[in-house]
Amino acid sequence: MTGNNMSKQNTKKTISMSRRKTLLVRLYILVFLAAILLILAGIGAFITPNDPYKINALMMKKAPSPGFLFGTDSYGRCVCSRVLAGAGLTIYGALILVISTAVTGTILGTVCGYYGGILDTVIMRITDLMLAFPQMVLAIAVAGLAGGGLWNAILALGITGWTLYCRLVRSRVMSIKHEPYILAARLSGCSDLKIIVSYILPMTAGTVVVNAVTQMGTSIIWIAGLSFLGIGVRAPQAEWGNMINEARGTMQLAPWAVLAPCAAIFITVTVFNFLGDTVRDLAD
Amino acid sequence: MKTGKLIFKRILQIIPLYIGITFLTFLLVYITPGDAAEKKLSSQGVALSQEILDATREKMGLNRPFIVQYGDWFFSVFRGDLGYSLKDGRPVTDKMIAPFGRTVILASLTMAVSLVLSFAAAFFSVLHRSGFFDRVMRVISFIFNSLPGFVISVLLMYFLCIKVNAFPVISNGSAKGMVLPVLSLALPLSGRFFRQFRSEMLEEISKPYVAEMKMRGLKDITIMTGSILRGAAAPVITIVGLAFGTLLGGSVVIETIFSYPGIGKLAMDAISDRDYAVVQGFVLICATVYSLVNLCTDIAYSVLDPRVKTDERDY
Repeated sequence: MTGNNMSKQNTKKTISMSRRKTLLVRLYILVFLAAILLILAGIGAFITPNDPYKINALMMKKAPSPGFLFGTDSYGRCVCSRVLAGAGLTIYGALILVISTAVTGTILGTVCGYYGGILDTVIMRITDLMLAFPQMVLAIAVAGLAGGGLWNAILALGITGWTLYCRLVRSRVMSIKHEPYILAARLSGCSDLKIIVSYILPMTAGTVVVNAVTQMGTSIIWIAGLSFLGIGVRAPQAEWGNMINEARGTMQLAPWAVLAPCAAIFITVTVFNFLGDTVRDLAD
Repeated sequence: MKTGKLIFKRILQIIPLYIGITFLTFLLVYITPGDAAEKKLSSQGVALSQEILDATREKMGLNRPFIVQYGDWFFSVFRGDLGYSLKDGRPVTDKMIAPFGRTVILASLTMAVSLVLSFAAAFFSVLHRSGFFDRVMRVISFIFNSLPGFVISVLLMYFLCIKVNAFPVISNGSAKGMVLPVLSLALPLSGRFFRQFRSEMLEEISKPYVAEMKMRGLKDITIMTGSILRGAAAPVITIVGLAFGTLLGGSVVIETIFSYPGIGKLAMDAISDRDYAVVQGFVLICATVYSLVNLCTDIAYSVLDPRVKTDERDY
């Protein structure tokens, strides 16, 4: 039994057609789920069953009921409405973080890889320096000293985030810039900009997209984590991380106020992580 | 012989890096809006007037040019002096030593638990690849990998402290109080480790020499314990080294939740008090520990796998 499994390994290199087909089906399903999450996050604030910020002293810590699907928190606010209203900040915050770091990293990495020289050395030393700090430690310090807020949290996480893409794109560009077709383009009089935009960027796009997708789940965890610590999105604004933090004090009486945002984070991160895995498997 | 030279070079590389680390740490607090002198005076309960403020700024050396202040701080860091807390005036180093020790204990326990759990699981998963155990472990590791530490800790607290009342909610350093913080940090980490270890072992197993060993009639378990583990050891060490960074960040969250008096809790308290000197010390200590761990993993890597040339790093 096990011997059979081990010998199978040798044929693993080439991804079989049927495996590719299952992966593609999985990809479509996950893209569909991720799209639903993105849409929900986008319109979440407008389709709340109740006012997510309305404090109601008569409805404090009420268990889930048809009127309040996930119950109410210790201020009598509707948890379901708050989860929906908070989805946008968490998910789009993570999306903005991923896109901005990917774009910054790709631009810097392309410049480094293509031109080399002193600029390359300087930028690479900076990435070395950024990688010497544990990402979350630096983010906590920056976001904390800057005084919180979603934008500060994104900035704090982005300070180190771009280095991932910068390094990947740089090594990719360095390996393709001596390919014959780049040389041909140069001989035919193309400008550097044209070569980069038309011939180099399309070749690096795959790597960047795969890594960006795999970073989505982690970014959601980070943003919710900073908000949980009180240095991301600030209360009373609804965000999953700070909802958990606010409600954990009264967890004994109103566990639903904690469990609902926990479940929301879990489902979202699972979908995006699974999507990232699938995209990575397909790219291999 | 060659390895020794490479190690020496790698150690030398850490000097400019460390200057960069101190510079960035200093800059971080320097550009933070807010006046340290004002903060110090108001926390001491001194009525603010322009004269006192100016005098304090002069005394704290805040009027000097940036580069002089940085140089001064840089050299005092090497004497082990991280300045004084703006809140209670105590030396930052004194304030940090005991919490740092507690965080080291928390981090070491977490690392030990995660390594044992994930390594054993990965080993048996690879031994019986695609078997029942492998499938179950892959799902479990995926779930833990998608749960942030703070969500796990809140869930653990709910089920084990409130529903069952088996563990204390506040971790005061007792053995029982350590269980939940360690689990909260170790579960997501083990999920990640399992996936990485498993793929490292699978990569090793697909190499031609394994097939050759099989042809010679060696048993799977012999090949696994003898060759695969040795082959996968070097990448595993790098994975573990990098995980220390995640662990240092994660411990801030977990220490805050369980009121565990470690360095992360100290840093969060300092952030809410706007005690810049302590935050600065925290960042510097974390970066120091992290770069030392990475230095050690690089050295271990080049000893275990001499093919790697550490001076020609591929970015």
